[in-house]
Amino acid sequence: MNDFLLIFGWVGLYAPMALGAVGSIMGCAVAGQAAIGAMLDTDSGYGRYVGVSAMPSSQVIYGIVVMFTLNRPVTLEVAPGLFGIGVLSGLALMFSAIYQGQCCASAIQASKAKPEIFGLSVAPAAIVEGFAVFAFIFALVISTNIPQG
Amino acid sequence: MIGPQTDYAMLIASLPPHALSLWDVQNKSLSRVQLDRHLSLLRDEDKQTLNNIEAALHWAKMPSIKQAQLAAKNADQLLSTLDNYFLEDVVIWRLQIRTIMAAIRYRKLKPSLKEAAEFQGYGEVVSRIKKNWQTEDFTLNNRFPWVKEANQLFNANETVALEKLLLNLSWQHYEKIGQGHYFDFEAVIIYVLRWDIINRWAKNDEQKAMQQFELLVEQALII
Repeated sequence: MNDFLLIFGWVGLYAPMALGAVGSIMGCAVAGQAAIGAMLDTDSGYGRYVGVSAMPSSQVIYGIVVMFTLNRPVTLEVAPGLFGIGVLSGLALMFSAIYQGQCCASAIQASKAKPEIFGLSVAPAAIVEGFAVFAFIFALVISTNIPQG
Repeated sequence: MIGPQTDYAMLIASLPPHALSLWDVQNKSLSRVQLDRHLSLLRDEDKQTLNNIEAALHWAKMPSIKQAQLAAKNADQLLSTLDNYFLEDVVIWRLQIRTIMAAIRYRKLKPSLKEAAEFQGYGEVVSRIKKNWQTEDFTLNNRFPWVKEANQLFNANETVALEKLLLNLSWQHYEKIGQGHYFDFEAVIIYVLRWDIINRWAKNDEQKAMQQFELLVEQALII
Protein backbone atom coordinates (compact mmCIF):
# COMPACT_ATOMS: atom_id res chain seq x y z
CA MET A 1 0.00 0.00 0.00
CA ASN A 2 2.81 2.36 0.94
CA ASP A 3 4.56 1.61 -2.34
CA PHE A 4 1.37 2.49 -4.23
CA LEU A 5 1.14 5.78 -2.40
CA LEU A 6 4.71 6.58 -3.36
CA ILE A 7 3.99 5.68 -6.99
CA PHE A 8 0.97 8.01 -6.96
CA GLY A 9 3.20 10.72 -5.54
CA TRP A 10 5.65 10.35 -8.43
CA VAL A 11 2.76 10.29 -10.91
CA GLY A 12 1.46 13.54 -9.42
CA LEU A 13 4.88 15.11 -9.62
CA TYR A 14 5.29 14.45 -13.34
CA ALA A 15 1.60 14.74 -14.34
CA PRO A 16 1.43 18.54 -14.90
CA MET A 17 4.34 18.38 -17.31
CA ALA A 18 3.22 15.18 -19.10
CA LEU A 19 -0.47 16.06 -19.38
CA GLY A 20 0.34 19.66 -20.33
CA ALA A 21 2.63 18.33 -23.07
CA VAL A 22 -0.08 15.96 -24.38
CA GLY A 23 -2.55 18.84 -24.52
CA SER A 24 -0.08 21.14 -26.24
CA ILE A 25 0.78 18.46 -28.79
CA MET A 26 -2.88 17.93 -29.67
CA GLY A 27 -3.81 21.62 -29.61
CA CYS A 28 -0.85 22.75 -31.69
CA ALA A 29 -1.36 19.88 -34.14
CA VAL A 30 -5.00 20.81 -34.85
CA ALA A 31 -4.30 24.54 -35.05
CA GLY A 32 -1.09 23.95 -37.03
CA GLN A 33 -2.80 21.87 -39.68
CA ALA A 34 -5.59 24.42 -39.91
CA ALA A 35 -2.87 27.04 -40.49
CA ILE A 36 -1.38 24.92 -43.26
CA GLY A 37 -4.82 24.48 -44.80
CA ALA A 38 -5.42 28.24 -44.68
CA MET A 39 -2.10 28.83 -46.42
CA LEU A 40 -3.36 26.73 -49.34
CA ASP A 41 -6.26 29.12 -49.84
CA THR A 42 -4.61 32.51 -49.22
CA ASP A 43 -1.74 34.53 -50.61
CA SER A 44 -0.70 36.37 -47.44
CA GLY A 45 -0.90 36.36 -43.64
CA TYR A 46 0.99 33.10 -43.27
CA GLY A 47 2.99 34.36 -40.29
CA ARG A 48 -0.09 35.20 -38.24
CA TYR A 49 -1.60 31.76 -38.91
CA VAL A 50 1.51 30.01 -37.65
CA GLY A 51 1.74 32.40 -34.69
CA VAL A 52 -1.84 31.66 -33.62
CA SER A 53 -1.32 27.93 -34.07
CA ALA A 54 1.48 28.04 -31.47
CA MET A 55 -0.80 29.42 -28.75
CA PRO A 56 -1.56 26.04 -27.11
CA SER A 57 2.15 25.53 -26.42
CA SER A 58 1.96 27.67 -23.26
CA GLN A 59 0.29 24.87 -21.27
CA VAL A 60 3.37 22.70 -21.35
CA ILE A 61 5.40 25.61 -19.94
CA TYR A 62 2.88 26.03 -17.11
CA GLY A 63 3.13 22.28 -16.53
CA ILE A 64 6.90 22.45 -16.27
CA VAL A 65 6.70 25.28 -13.72
CA VAL A 66 4.09 23.39 -11.62
CA MET A 67 6.27 20.28 -11.77
CA PHE A 68 9.30 22.17 -10.47
CA THR A 69 7.20 23.79 -7.77
CA LEU A 70 5.94 20.39 -6.62
CA ASN A 71 9.39 18.87 -6.85
CA ARG A 72 10.50 17.56 -3.43
CA PRO A 73 11.41 14.21 -1.93
CA VAL A 74 8.39 11.92 -2.37
CA THR A 75 7.36 10.55 1.01
CA LEU A 76 4.17 8.97 2.34
CA GLU A 77 3.31 12.29 3.91
CA VAL A 78 3.50 14.38 0.70
CA ALA A 79 2.48 11.79 -1.91
CA PRO A 80 -1.34 12.31 -1.71
CA GLY A 81 -0.94 16.09 -2.03
CA LEU A 82 1.43 15.74 -4.98
CA PHE A 83 -0.96 13.34 -6.68
CA GLY A 84 -4.05 15.49 -6.19
CA ILE A 85 -2.56 18.81 -7.25
CA GLY A 86 -0.36 17.35 -9.98
CA VAL A 87 -2.98 15.23 -11.73
CA LEU A 88 -5.81 17.74 -11.49
CA SER A 89 -3.73 20.70 -12.64
CA GLY A 90 -2.31 18.50 -15.42
CA LEU A 91 -5.78 17.53 -16.61
CA ALA A 92 -6.90 21.17 -16.58
CA LEU A 93 -3.84 22.16 -18.62
CA MET A 94 -4.33 19.27 -21.05
CA PHE A 95 -7.99 19.99 -21.79
CA SER A 96 -7.39 23.73 -22.05
CA ALA A 97 -4.63 23.13 -24.62
CA ILE A 98 -6.80 20.77 -26.70
CA TYR A 99 -9.77 23.10 -26.79
CA GLN A 100 -7.58 26.15 -27.27
CA GLY A 101 -6.19 24.40 -30.35
CA GLN A 102 -9.72 24.10 -31.72
CA CYS A 103 -10.40 27.78 -30.96
CA CYS A 104 -7.19 28.69 -32.78
CA ALA A 105 -8.16 26.54 -35.77
CA SER A 106 -11.52 28.31 -35.93
CA ALA A 107 -9.81 31.71 -35.60
CA ILE A 108 -7.50 30.85 -38.47
CA GLN A 109 -10.36 29.73 -40.67
CA ALA A 110 -12.48 32.78 -39.85
CA SER A 111 -9.68 35.31 -40.30
CA LYS A 112 -8.76 33.69 -43.61
CA ALA A 113 -12.18 34.66 -44.97
CA LYS A 114 -12.36 38.00 -43.11
CA PRO A 115 -8.85 39.26 -42.25
CA GLU A 116 -10.31 42.29 -40.45
CA ILE A 117 -11.67 40.11 -37.62
CA PHE A 118 -8.32 38.49 -36.86
CA GLY A 119 -7.84 40.22 -33.50
CA LEU A 120 -11.35 39.47 -32.29
CA SER A 121 -11.28 35.89 -33.56
CA VAL A 122 -8.35 35.12 -31.27
CA ALA A 123 -10.29 36.30 -28.19
CA PRO A 124 -11.97 32.92 -27.46
CA ALA A 125 -8.56 31.23 -27.50
CA ALA A 126 -7.28 33.90 -25.09
CA ILE A 127 -10.24 33.25 -22.77
CA VAL A 128 -9.43 29.53 -22.73
CA GLU A 129 -5.82 30.48 -21.96
CA GLY A 130 -7.16 32.42 -18.98
CA PHE A 131 -8.60 29.24 -17.48
CA ALA A 132 -5.27 27.49 -17.95
CA VAL A 133 -3.63 30.38 -16.09
CA PHE A 134 -6.13 29.96 -13.22
CA ALA A 135 -5.28 26.26 -12.96
CA PHE A 136 -1.57 27.10 -13.09
CA ILE A 137 -1.59 29.93 -10.51
CA PHE A 138 -3.74 28.12 -7.98
CA ALA A 139 -1.70 24.94 -8.34
CA LEU A 140 1.32 27.04 -7.35
CA VAL A 141 -0.56 28.69 -4.47
CA ILE A 142 -1.96 25.48 -3.03
CA SER A 143 1.29 23.56 -3.44
CA THR A 144 2.82 25.73 -0.71
CA ASN A 145 0.66 23.75 1.77
CA ILE A 146 2.48 20.52 0.94
CA PRO A 147 5.39 19.96 3.32
CA GLN A 148 8.86 20.07 1.79
CA GLY A 149 9.41 16.39 2.69
CA MET B 1 -6.79 10.16 -32.32
CA ILE B 2 -4.76 13.15 -33.49
CA GLY B 3 -4.21 12.08 -37.11
CA PRO B 4 -7.68 12.21 -38.72
CA GLN B 5 -8.77 15.20 -36.60
CA THR B 6 -5.84 17.32 -37.73
CA ASP B 7 -6.29 16.16 -41.34
CA TYR B 8 -9.88 17.40 -41.28
CA ALA B 9 -8.72 20.71 -39.73
CA MET B 10 -6.30 21.18 -42.60
CA LEU B 11 -8.87 20.25 -45.23
CA ILE B 12 -11.63 22.45 -43.80
CA ALA B 13 -9.28 25.41 -43.36
CA SER B 14 -8.13 25.07 -46.96
CA LEU B 15 -11.68 25.35 -48.32
CA PRO B 16 -13.21 28.77 -48.99
CA PRO B 17 -16.25 29.34 -46.77
CA HIS B 18 -19.72 29.17 -48.29
CA ALA B 19 -21.84 32.32 -48.48
CA LEU B 20 -24.30 32.90 -45.65
CA SER B 21 -27.27 32.75 -47.98
CA LEU B 22 -27.64 30.46 -50.97
CA TRP B 23 -28.98 33.36 -53.02
CA ASP B 24 -25.84 35.44 -52.33
CA VAL B 25 -23.85 32.95 -54.35
CA GLN B 26 -23.14 34.61 -57.66
CA ASN B 27 -20.53 32.14 -58.81
CA LYS B 28 -19.27 28.85 -57.53
CA SER B 29 -16.32 29.59 -55.27
CA LEU B 30 -14.69 26.32 -56.30
CA SER B 31 -14.90 24.22 -59.41
CA ARG B 32 -15.39 20.46 -59.02
CA VAL B 33 -11.80 19.90 -60.09
CA GLN B 34 -10.55 22.28 -57.40
CA LEU B 35 -12.85 20.72 -54.80
CA ASP B 36 -11.63 17.23 -55.68
CA ARG B 37 -8.04 18.43 -55.34
CA HIS B 38 -8.80 19.58 -51.79
CA LEU B 39 -10.70 16.37 -51.02
CA SER B 40 -7.63 14.34 -51.99
CA LEU B 41 -6.42 15.13 -48.44
CA LEU B 42 -9.03 12.69 -47.13
CA ARG B 43 -8.16 9.13 -46.23
CA ASP B 44 -9.30 6.45 -48.68
CA GLU B 45 -12.15 5.14 -46.51
CA ASP B 46 -13.48 8.67 -45.96
CA LYS B 47 -13.30 9.35 -49.70
CA GLN B 48 -15.28 6.19 -50.35
CA THR B 49 -17.94 7.15 -47.79
CA LEU B 50 -18.22 10.64 -49.25
CA ASN B 51 -18.53 9.27 -52.79
CA ASN B 52 -21.24 6.82 -51.72
CA ILE B 53 -23.25 9.55 -49.98
CA GLU B 54 -22.86 11.97 -52.87
CA ALA B 55 -23.82 9.28 -55.38
CA ALA B 56 -26.95 8.41 -53.40
CA LEU B 57 -28.03 12.01 -52.92
CA HIS B 58 -26.92 13.50 -56.22
CA TRP B 59 -29.72 15.37 -57.97
CA ALA B 60 -28.94 13.78 -61.32
CA LYS B 61 -29.34 10.33 -59.80
CA MET B 62 -32.82 10.97 -58.50
CA PRO B 63 -34.72 7.86 -59.65
CA SER B 64 -37.98 7.87 -61.52
CA ILE B 65 -41.12 6.63 -59.81
CA LYS B 66 -40.68 3.21 -61.44
CA GLN B 67 -37.22 2.89 -59.92
CA ALA B 68 -38.31 3.83 -56.40
CA GLN B 69 -38.01 0.29 -55.08
CA LEU B 70 -34.48 0.00 -56.43
CA ALA B 71 -33.56 3.39 -54.96
CA ALA B 72 -34.90 2.36 -51.54
CA LYS B 73 -32.84 -0.85 -51.73
CA ASN B 74 -29.71 1.12 -52.67
CA ALA B 75 -30.34 3.52 -49.80
CA ASP B 76 -30.65 0.61 -47.37
CA GLN B 77 -27.36 -0.76 -48.65
CA LEU B 78 -25.67 2.62 -48.18
CA LEU B 79 -27.07 3.05 -44.67
CA SER B 80 -25.87 -0.40 -43.67
CA THR B 81 -22.30 0.65 -44.57
CA LEU B 82 -22.43 3.88 -42.55
CA ASP B 83 -21.37 3.60 -38.92
CA ASN B 84 -22.12 7.22 -38.10
CA TYR B 85 -25.57 8.34 -36.86
CA PHE B 86 -25.02 11.88 -38.13
CA LEU B 87 -24.38 10.70 -41.67
CA GLU B 88 -27.31 8.29 -41.50
CA ASP B 89 -29.56 11.19 -40.54
CA VAL B 90 -28.24 13.30 -43.41
CA VAL B 91 -29.05 10.56 -45.92
CA ILE B 92 -32.44 9.66 -44.43
CA TRP B 93 -33.53 13.32 -44.28
CA ARG B 94 -32.83 13.86 -47.98
CA LEU B 95 -34.44 10.58 -49.00
CA GLN B 96 -37.57 11.52 -47.09
CA ILE B 97 -37.74 14.86 -48.89
CA ARG B 98 -37.46 13.01 -52.17
CA THR B 99 -40.15 10.58 -51.14
CA ILE B 100 -42.54 13.41 -50.28
CA MET B 101 -41.84 15.21 -53.55
CA ALA B 102 -42.27 11.96 -55.47
CA ALA B 103 -45.60 11.47 -53.70
CA ILE B 104 -46.76 14.95 -54.71
CA ARG B 105 -45.88 14.23 -58.33
CA TYR B 106 -47.37 10.74 -58.26
CA ARG B 107 -50.59 12.02 -56.73
CA LYS B 108 -51.09 14.36 -59.66
CA LEU B 109 -50.85 11.40 -62.03
CA LYS B 110 -52.95 9.05 -59.89
CA PRO B 111 -55.13 11.00 -57.51
CA SER B 112 -57.45 8.19 -56.41
CA LEU B 113 -56.99 6.54 -53.03
CA LYS B 114 -56.86 3.07 -54.59
CA GLU B 115 -53.77 3.96 -56.60
CA ALA B 116 -51.98 5.27 -53.53
CA ALA B 117 -51.15 1.67 -52.61
CA GLU B 118 -48.81 1.49 -55.59
CA PHE B 119 -46.72 4.38 -54.32
CA GLN B 120 -43.24 3.46 -53.13
CA GLY B 121 -40.67 5.52 -51.33
CA TYR B 122 -38.24 5.54 -48.47
CA GLY B 123 -38.71 5.85 -44.74
CA GLU B 124 -41.50 5.92 -42.23
CA VAL B 125 -43.30 8.70 -44.11
CA VAL B 126 -44.47 6.27 -46.81
CA SER B 127 -47.22 4.65 -44.74
CA ARG B 128 -48.48 8.05 -43.59
CA ILE B 129 -48.49 9.35 -47.15
CA LYS B 130 -50.52 6.35 -48.34
CA LYS B 131 -53.01 6.72 -45.48
CA ASN B 132 -53.51 10.45 -46.13
CA TRP B 133 -53.16 10.38 -49.89
CA GLN B 134 -55.84 12.95 -50.57
CA THR B 135 -54.86 15.37 -47.81
CA GLU B 136 -52.94 18.33 -49.21
CA ASP B 137 -49.91 17.95 -46.92
CA PHE B 138 -50.32 14.18 -46.24
CA THR B 139 -50.75 15.33 -42.57
CA LEU B 140 -46.97 15.77 -42.47
CA ASN B 141 -47.21 19.47 -41.69
CA ASN B 142 -45.86 19.17 -38.16
CA ARG B 143 -42.67 17.43 -39.18
CA PHE B 144 -42.32 18.91 -42.65
CA PRO B 145 -43.97 22.36 -42.61
CA TRP B 146 -42.93 23.07 -46.19
CA VAL B 147 -45.03 20.28 -47.77
CA LYS B 148 -48.15 22.41 -48.20
CA GLU B 149 -46.22 25.19 -49.91
CA ALA B 150 -44.37 22.71 -52.12
CA ASN B 151 -47.68 21.13 -53.15
CA GLN B 152 -49.19 24.52 -53.97
CA LEU B 153 -46.15 25.53 -56.05
CA PHE B 154 -46.19 22.19 -57.85
CA ASN B 155 -49.88 22.47 -58.70
CA ALA B 156 -49.39 26.07 -59.85
CA ASN B 157 -46.55 24.85 -62.10
CA GLU B 158 -44.15 27.27 -60.39
CA THR B 159 -41.16 25.06 -61.05
CA VAL B 160 -38.46 27.65 -60.37
CA ALA B 161 -40.05 28.68 -57.07
CA LEU B 162 -40.41 25.01 -56.11
CA GLU B 163 -36.77 24.36 -56.97
CA LYS B 164 -35.73 27.36 -54.88
CA LEU B 165 -37.84 26.17 -51.97
CA LEU B 166 -36.29 22.70 -52.00
CA LEU B 167 -32.72 23.94 -52.46
CA ASN B 168 -33.10 26.48 -49.70
CA LEU B 169 -34.63 23.85 -47.45
CA SER B 170 -31.59 21.60 -47.86
CA TRP B 171 -29.20 24.55 -47.55
CA GLN B 172 -30.71 25.65 -44.24
CA HIS B 173 -31.01 22.11 -42.92
CA TYR B 174 -27.32 21.48 -43.56
CA GLU B 175 -26.43 24.78 -41.90
CA LYS B 176 -28.48 23.82 -38.85
CA ILE B 177 -27.11 20.31 -38.41
CA GLY B 178 -23.59 21.53 -39.21
CA GLN B 179 -23.53 23.59 -35.99
CA GLY B 180 -21.01 22.01 -33.65
CA HIS B 181 -19.14 20.27 -36.48
CA TYR B 182 -16.19 22.42 -37.44
CA PHE B 183 -13.12 20.28 -37.98
CA ASP B 184 -14.39 16.75 -38.40
CA PHE B 185 -15.56 14.42 -41.16
CA GLU B 186 -19.16 15.50 -40.69
CA ALA B 187 -18.11 19.09 -41.47
CA VAL B 188 -16.49 17.87 -44.70
CA ILE B 189 -19.65 16.01 -45.73
CA ILE B 190 -21.81 19.07 -44.98
CA TYR B 191 -19.43 21.29 -46.96
CA VAL B 192 -19.57 19.05 -50.01
CA LEU B 193 -23.35 18.63 -49.89
CA ARG B 194 -23.75 22.41 -49.68
CA TRP B 195 -21.33 22.74 -52.58
CA ASP B 196 -23.60 20.38 -54.52
CA ILE B 197 -26.54 22.70 -53.84
CA ILE B 198 -24.57 25.75 -55.04
CA ASN B 199 -23.49 23.78 -58.08
CA ARG B 200 -27.07 22.81 -58.81
CA TRP B 201 -28.25 26.42 -58.57
CA ALA B 202 -25.33 27.77 -60.59
CA LYS B 203 -26.00 25.18 -63.29
CA ASN B 204 -29.60 26.32 -63.47
CA ASP B 205 -28.35 29.80 -64.21
CA GLU B 206 -25.98 28.44 -66.84
CA GLN B 207 -28.87 26.66 -68.53
CA LYS B 208 -30.91 29.85 -68.41
CA ALA B 209 -28.01 31.81 -69.87
CA MET B 210 -27.64 29.24 -72.63
CA GLN B 211 -31.33 29.47 -73.51
CA GLN B 212 -31.08 33.26 -73.58
CA PHE B 213 -27.98 33.02 -75.76
CA GLU B 214 -29.76 30.70 -78.23
CA LEU B 215 -32.71 33.05 -78.34
CA LEU B 216 -30.46 35.99 -79.14
CA VAL B 217 -28.68 33.99 -81.84
CA GLU B 218 -32.01 33.05 -83.42
CA GLN B 219 -33.18 36.65 -83.35
CA ALA B 220 -29.91 37.73 -84.94
CA LEU B 221 -30.34 35.14 -87.70
CA ILE B 222 -33.90 36.31 -88.39
CA ILE B 223 -32.75 39.89 -88.67
